[in-house]
Amino acid sequence: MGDAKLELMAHLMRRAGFGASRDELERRVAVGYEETVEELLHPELQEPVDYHEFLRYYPLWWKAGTMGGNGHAGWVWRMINTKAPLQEKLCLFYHQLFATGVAKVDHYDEIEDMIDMFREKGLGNYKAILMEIARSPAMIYWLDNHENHATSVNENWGRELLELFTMGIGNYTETDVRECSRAFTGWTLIHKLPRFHMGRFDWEFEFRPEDHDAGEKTFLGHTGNFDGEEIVDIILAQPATANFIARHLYSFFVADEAQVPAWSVTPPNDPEAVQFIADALMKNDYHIETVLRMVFNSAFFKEALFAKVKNPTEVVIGTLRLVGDTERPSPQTIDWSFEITYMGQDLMNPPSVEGWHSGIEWINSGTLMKRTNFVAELISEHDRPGVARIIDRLKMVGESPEAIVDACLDVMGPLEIPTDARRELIEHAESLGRFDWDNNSPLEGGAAKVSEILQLIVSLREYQFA
Amino acid sequence: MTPALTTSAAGRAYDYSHVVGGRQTTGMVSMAFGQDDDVYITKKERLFCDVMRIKVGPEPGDEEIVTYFAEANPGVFDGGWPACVAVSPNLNVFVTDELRHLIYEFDRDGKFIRHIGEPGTGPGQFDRPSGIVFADDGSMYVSDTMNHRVQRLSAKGEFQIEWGGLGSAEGQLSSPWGLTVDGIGNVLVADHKNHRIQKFDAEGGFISAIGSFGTGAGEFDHPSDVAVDPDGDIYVCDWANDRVQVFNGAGVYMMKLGGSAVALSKWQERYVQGNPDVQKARRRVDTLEPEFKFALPTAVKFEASRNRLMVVDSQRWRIQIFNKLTDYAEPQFNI
Repeated sequence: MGDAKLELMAHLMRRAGFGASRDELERRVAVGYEETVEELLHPELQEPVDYHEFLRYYPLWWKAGTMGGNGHAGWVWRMINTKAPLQEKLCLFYHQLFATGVAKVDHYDEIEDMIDMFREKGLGNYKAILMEIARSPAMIYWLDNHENHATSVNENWGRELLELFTMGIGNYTETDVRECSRAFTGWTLIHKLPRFHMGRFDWEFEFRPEDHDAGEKTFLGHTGNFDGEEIVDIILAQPATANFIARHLYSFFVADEAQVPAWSVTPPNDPEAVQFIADALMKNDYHIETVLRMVFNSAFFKEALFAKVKNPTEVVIGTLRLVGDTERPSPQTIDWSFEITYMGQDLMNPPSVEGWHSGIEWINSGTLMKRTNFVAELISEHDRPGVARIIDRLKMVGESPEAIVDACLDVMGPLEIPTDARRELIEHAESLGRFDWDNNSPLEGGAAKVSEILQLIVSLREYQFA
Repeated sequence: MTPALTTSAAGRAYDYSHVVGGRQTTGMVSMAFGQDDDVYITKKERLFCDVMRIKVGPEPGDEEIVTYFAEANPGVFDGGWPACVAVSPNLNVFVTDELRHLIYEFDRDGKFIRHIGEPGTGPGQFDRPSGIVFADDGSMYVSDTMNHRVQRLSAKGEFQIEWGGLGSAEGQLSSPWGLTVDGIGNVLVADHKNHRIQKFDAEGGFISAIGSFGTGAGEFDHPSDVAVDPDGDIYVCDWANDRVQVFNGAGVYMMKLGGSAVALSKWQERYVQGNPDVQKARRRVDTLEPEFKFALPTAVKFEASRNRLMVVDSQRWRIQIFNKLTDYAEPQFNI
């Protein structure tokens, strides 16, 4: 196979970002793997995206309404333009973990605020993120904590905190759920102004002491007059929590796992790797930057090439960043945000608090067509600067169909595919006739013919993996 | 806290008058004065854009919709993004388009006449044109935003001169947006991504600049528009700081307006009265204060004939109107 350093860098950029062009990969290889990891872990060193540029052209995406179903377009635009891709990838990770949807919340802007918090604090301490989530108006409404009163406990938030956000099912009792929920009574919302006559206004968290159950609670073997923050401290001290978060990190960044609801009955694919991450979380006070550094530099990460099915956001954003000329806010930005939805990931509107089922479940007969058609169309637009650079590289290999196919596989991954698939690609390339690079015909020219090869490659099973 | 209804400083006073707009004007981003109370506005909606001609009289409630340009000219804005609007001395209406990279000309009643310009970087070509304003002689200045320059066209739409270029040095521009012409023909430009206002003479010669990035007095966060009144006072739409700042003709900071819309507009009031849940929701909040303030104001215009300032309060779908008071005397401090 090809250049191992380049393949590893491509792997890192697919997982810690949205992929990278061949030019970028070569630049990063020259800089070094560990140095690139450090750069990714320090988004503050990059010039931030100027979100005002998006709002200038799309004023109604400021506190976007619900009916359009594309309030996530601004986030999509950020992901296309960011110079700190791991920061946005972490937003995606936490959005999957703390899945909150506009279908119930009905205010995209409140979920955007949550995503903004992930962007700001995602590399920090997990406790800080949990406490922000506990006070997030979107989450409070999503999981009914505004209905959680001292005299009438609602267990929705307390249950999901334990089941989906920290420990995982099987590591606590129904009594723990009750006691946990009592500790969050009175964590509620201030009434907001209605939106219909002049647009949306912010929701604010409010703690109402008169509605808080300050009495004694017994939770996970500890007894005291716990409030919400003390409950979170007890949760984070549990090895089960570290294991659960570790499995989430492994599943998102390293290799596909079973779906979350099956975790209580299905052991991890790589228990040692998950334990390594869990230990790192416990030893480092759940400091995510520190833990991700250890993950990206670990042997199990470096060996996990193409062990994940790309999620729809990775497919769309990766393609848009690759082909280029996609940076400006435009109606296409909205269309592209819908493409992610069509492929099965309606950002800011997950199917439930459990988030999306990932891995192989991203693929069905409909979504596979959407994925391949989307990428195939864009990769054949020769005017796009990223595509033009790919074709310029391919011109360097001459006119041999075999060499052109191998170069295409190299520049689109590098991808390793089965022998029979490679042979079919070569046969197709041979059937196209001479690759005449001096012929610019949109039908007969070398670039047009190579587009067909690229379109076939993005349709391959292997291209669906990250 | 209820905002001040009269804002005064440095010998100037602005009295909050009233609000125009509502659900009918969602997505409003730009406005221009016509004749006989005509006000033209551009709207950037979710799936379509439009230009509206409305009447805005002197008193609260004196507003009505006259024409929707898209309705009068089916398909005219297809594939386009109307951005900013200006009215020529002969009362025709000119609208920039940020997606088709051209300018539309309509007559006063909204009948389409012609296109001016085309996409590109050459003279008379545009890349996302936005702000537009007419000089007294009928020539027009256009913010050619993504070419980071200002172009002056003749009344017939022919290219005359250009200036700017991407950069932050004096005379250079970064995504210019709104612009205006003062009483002696100088051109003031909202140098949006340089967070400043630049003043040029009619030939594009740099004269002066106001402001830099920040939230303090005299500082800007992505200014979107600028206006000058007959006294020479300068109004800057300080977009991302949610305010309008006032400077004297020398560019010295005088005061700021943060929005004072303590009452609903006629159209807003109708909506609220017709929706009991909205009424109840407004009555259960601790304060209506957030309703009073500007939210990302995109345009500021001074109506000299009525001596009043209009601010397009974009995210609140309305225009806030302030009367500039003359001969204002402060009440005694110890009253």
